[in-house]
Amino acid sequence: MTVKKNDNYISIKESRRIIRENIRKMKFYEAEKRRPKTLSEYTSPMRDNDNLIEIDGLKTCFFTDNGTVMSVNGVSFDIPKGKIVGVVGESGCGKSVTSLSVMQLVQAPQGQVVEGQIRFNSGELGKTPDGHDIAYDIAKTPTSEMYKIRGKDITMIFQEPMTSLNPVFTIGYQLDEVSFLHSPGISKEDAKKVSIDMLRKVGISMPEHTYESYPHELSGGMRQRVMIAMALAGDPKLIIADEPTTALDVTIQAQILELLRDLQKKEGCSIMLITHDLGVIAEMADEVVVMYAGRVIEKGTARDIFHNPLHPYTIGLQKSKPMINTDTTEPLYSIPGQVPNPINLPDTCYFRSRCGQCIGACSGKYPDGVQVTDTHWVSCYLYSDGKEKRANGGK
Amino acid sequence: MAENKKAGTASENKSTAANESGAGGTGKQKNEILRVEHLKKYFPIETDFFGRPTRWLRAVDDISFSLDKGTTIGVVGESGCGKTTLGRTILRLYDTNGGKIYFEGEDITNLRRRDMLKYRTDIQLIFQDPYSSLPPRMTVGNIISEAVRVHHIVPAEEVHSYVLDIMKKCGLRPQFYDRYPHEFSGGQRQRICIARALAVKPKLVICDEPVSALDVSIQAQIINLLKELQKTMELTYVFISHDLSVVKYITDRILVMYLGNMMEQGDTAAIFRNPLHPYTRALFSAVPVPDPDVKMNRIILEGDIPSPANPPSGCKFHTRCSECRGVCTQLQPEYTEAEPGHFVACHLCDRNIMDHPEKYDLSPYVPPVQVEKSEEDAENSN
Repeated sequence: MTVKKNDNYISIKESRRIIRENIRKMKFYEAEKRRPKTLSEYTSPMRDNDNLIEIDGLKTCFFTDNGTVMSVNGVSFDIPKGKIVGVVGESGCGKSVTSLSVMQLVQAPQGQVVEGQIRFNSGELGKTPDGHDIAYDIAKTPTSEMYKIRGKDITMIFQEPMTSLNPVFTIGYQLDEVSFLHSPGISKEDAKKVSIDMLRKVGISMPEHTYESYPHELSGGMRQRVMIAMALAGDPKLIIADEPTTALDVTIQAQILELLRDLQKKEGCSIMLITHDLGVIAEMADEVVVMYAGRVIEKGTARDIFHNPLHPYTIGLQKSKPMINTDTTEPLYSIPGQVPNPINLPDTCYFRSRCGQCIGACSGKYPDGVQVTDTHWVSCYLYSDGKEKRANGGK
Repeated sequence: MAENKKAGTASENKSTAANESGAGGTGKQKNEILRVEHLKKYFPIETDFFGRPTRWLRAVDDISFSLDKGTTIGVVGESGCGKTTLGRTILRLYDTNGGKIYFEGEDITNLRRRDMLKYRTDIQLIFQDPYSSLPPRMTVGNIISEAVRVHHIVPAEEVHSYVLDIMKKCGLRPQFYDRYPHEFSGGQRQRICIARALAVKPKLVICDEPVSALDVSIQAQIINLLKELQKTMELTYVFISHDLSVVKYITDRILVMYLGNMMEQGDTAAIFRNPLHPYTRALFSAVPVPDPDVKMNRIILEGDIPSPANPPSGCKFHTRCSECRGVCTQLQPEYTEAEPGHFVACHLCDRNIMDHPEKYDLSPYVPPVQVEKSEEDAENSN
């Protein structure tokens, strides 16, 4: 038996240094959050008034004892008004952390938004002299101000309906709470009426009965419907759905997706749909963002991504899924290797070690994005020159 | 060339399997490895004063199928339909409440624990969650070699090299031998689980949702590994899954379950080409296709799966069926052979029922209106 050399090994001295450093940084960011701010400090003009959310160069870090993990490392994308944007990627690629950053719910003090802007166009702050809407910059908005936005303008549906409802309160109590918080002065009877309306809207056949029951009395699909009702109660502008159907059966998944789509059309809100299921994305999303190791590697309309995928990772992801509408007995394509360790990533393309189409330029620094068409953006050296030719023959 | 050959043999295998199951007798066939006849597993949910069960939950109710060597059967259905219970009952982890299990022609239904031991190495199980099914305090080498030592698969001095050989087959590097499970990612843990199951040279492997907990790119690696091992080691799989696209890719036959009952059974190609049972059709149409331009004629099932403790009368699926007739609520459908090798339990496919409208109520069934009642209640309470 020989002692193996472990790359992840950190000496005690080094570890102490990292911990000291982390405490210093965390104190700095926490103090920044508590500092009283004027309105102009946490607002900024939108680039495009048709967008509801503009995420610009967002960086979210976790300060762990092994080093800093860049969970979200310079993510930029827009969510237009009244559209469904799908975010797809493997586990650990930072899609959930992006959504939590938008909600300002990242686990503090270890997790901090360190850079970038998340502009949220609430439409209540007026316009700049040149006609741009003024928006909240959620990355800098103080917590007290965020209470008014979170749960009302931006709401979230979590993956596990079993664990995100409180087991000791009735469904009705938990739904009424939303009304009490966001429309102060509402009477008990009115709140109940609103809640039952919401339950009926999400297709629960006996809303009065459900109003009185406890979460454990409902099935998984019903609980997810209750979560959606809760998300709708504040009349939101954006719903973040974080893997809303992963814990459900296919038949129930079809019901919930149909419901989400109908509600989105009726209410005209935007949805940010996070999932790893390409089928769900293809069915629901107008625009797709593909993430890998904390970065956006490709974004475009659903047609762009599914009919003309450009990044080798996107292509590999689609090839590795067996399709229900095709017959094949050949071995599935599988992307070799694994997602890289998120600590101390090198400044090269993160997909380089798993990519089958590496070229000389790939050993250089992280590739800049290329706007291939008006809607289609990709971050890969294969398309940085002669992109027209490649893009057309890409599939 | 090689691929053509492989495809050819695969289709031949399929067709022979179809012929044999089409012949469908009760006699033992040459190539048959597992036969399950009218298997039942009930769990007691209520007992009387003396502790005798008075109500049963019928988790697996009257399931029959047979499986040829080197083929794969897929068991699909929603959660709570009894697929996992079926797998565990075949393994004799649960005692049966009726029916027979034949393994290689041998009746293993009521074998005692000691007699069962020699079959334990032949039937192995791969679990769904690789994070909770590996002991955290044992090294990979120990995990894989434990059963090898207990069952004396190879002489004691060869265990180490044998385990390394198995690890290599499953795509694990030899230096992983002394590591602990927490050092691995989900895909590699699943490889360890597979290596552990295969180390005792099983003939039948029950895969209980082996890829559900993994990412898409890792899923493909594990599926390819399972297929390759099947070819090289002549394994037979019972593949339990709710992911229909994976099931379609890996299986030769499919068994569709709903609330413990068989709904449909047949060759994978036949079932996908022509699903007969309304539940199968709804299940297939609910799978999202990764293509934004494909518009599916989706059949959306209303409501949830009913409680298995209190199943509906007649056909268990009638509460959610879009083509429900009067007879469906009264009579439990017979399990009939609609096409050669393609079995279905549905009145709509049963000539004996559909050709006798005078005997049976074939008018579309309208459920007693529970929803309206609740709305009345609502108005009253408002």
